[in-house]
Amino acid sequence: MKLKQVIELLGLFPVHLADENVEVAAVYCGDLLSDVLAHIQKDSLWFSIQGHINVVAVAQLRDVACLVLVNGVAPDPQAVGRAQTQGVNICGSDETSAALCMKLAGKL
Amino acid sequence: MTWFDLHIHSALSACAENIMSPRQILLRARAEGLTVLALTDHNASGHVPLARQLGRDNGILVIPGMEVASREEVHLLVYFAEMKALADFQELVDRNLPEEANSPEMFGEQLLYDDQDEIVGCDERLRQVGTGLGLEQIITTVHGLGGAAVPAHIYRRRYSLMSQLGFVDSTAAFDAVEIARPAWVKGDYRLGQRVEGFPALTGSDAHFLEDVGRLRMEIERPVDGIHDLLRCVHDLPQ
Repeated sequence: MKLKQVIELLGLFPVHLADENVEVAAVYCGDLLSDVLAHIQKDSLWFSIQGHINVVAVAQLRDVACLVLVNGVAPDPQAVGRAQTQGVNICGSDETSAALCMKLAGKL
Repeated sequence: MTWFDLHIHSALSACAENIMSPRQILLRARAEGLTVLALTDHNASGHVPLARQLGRDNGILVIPGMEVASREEVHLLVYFAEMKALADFQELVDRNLPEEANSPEMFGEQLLYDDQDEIVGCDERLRQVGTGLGLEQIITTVHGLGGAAVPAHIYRRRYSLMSQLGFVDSTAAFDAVEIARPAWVKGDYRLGQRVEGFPALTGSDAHFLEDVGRLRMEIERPVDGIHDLLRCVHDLPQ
């Protein structure tokens, strides 16, 4: 499924969209970036509450399709700036990772 | 000469031994030959004024400090040149801690002592948790208050830069980085050695009285405060 369809399905709000036509192939939930680096798959939708600038580097290193900051968390301003220069997709949601995963179940 | 240990908990940290009064810590520090130390309680600094007073009586410089937990749950050691700055920082931390009571059964007690080793109070607030302050916000604030920020035990598997944030950004505004004592020994680090682009140091991270001053650091001249000390560490030959 393309990112723009996922955004519509889950009602995500865009924070920075570099390319909404990327294909979303997997999902990962994680807030400890050491764990995310170790386990996330390429082209994932990544649910996290981590708004620190390092999330952008991790998203880029692992070819993440889109970082989704859940629970209404706002990214640090530095993170948005880095996402803009690096072309990393970031969306937000007021819902929990679990609620979003259940909405996505079986649909990718 | 300066012998220092900049990472010591007192009984005010829930996870530290209850007998760690400022007086006992200072006595232990003197016996260990320390000339400079910092009490770095978790999101707390209530023992620092007394420790400074006892330090003056014992010829030990006590640097105002705290171990603050960021929103990302990264532990960061912060140090200040003046008590006023630490007090201002404490106010910010208190505004950004959850309004919840500590659970002594779960985390341990947060005890306040006087200069005669008598327990005079108990901090009821839950402090053994992350604050709502982002790491970058803390560093900017600390620098604005004239202080220094040193991420604690950066390679540890919990509550560290590496565990929470995946890697160490060498362009960040850290004044130094702390390597945990076991890793310091195992990795044969030297004081001031550049690690991830920052001067490295270690501290005892004492949670038990007997660990105060363990693996003390050494500088070959006296220092008059945190900035003087960190400048010396920065300037050590590589």
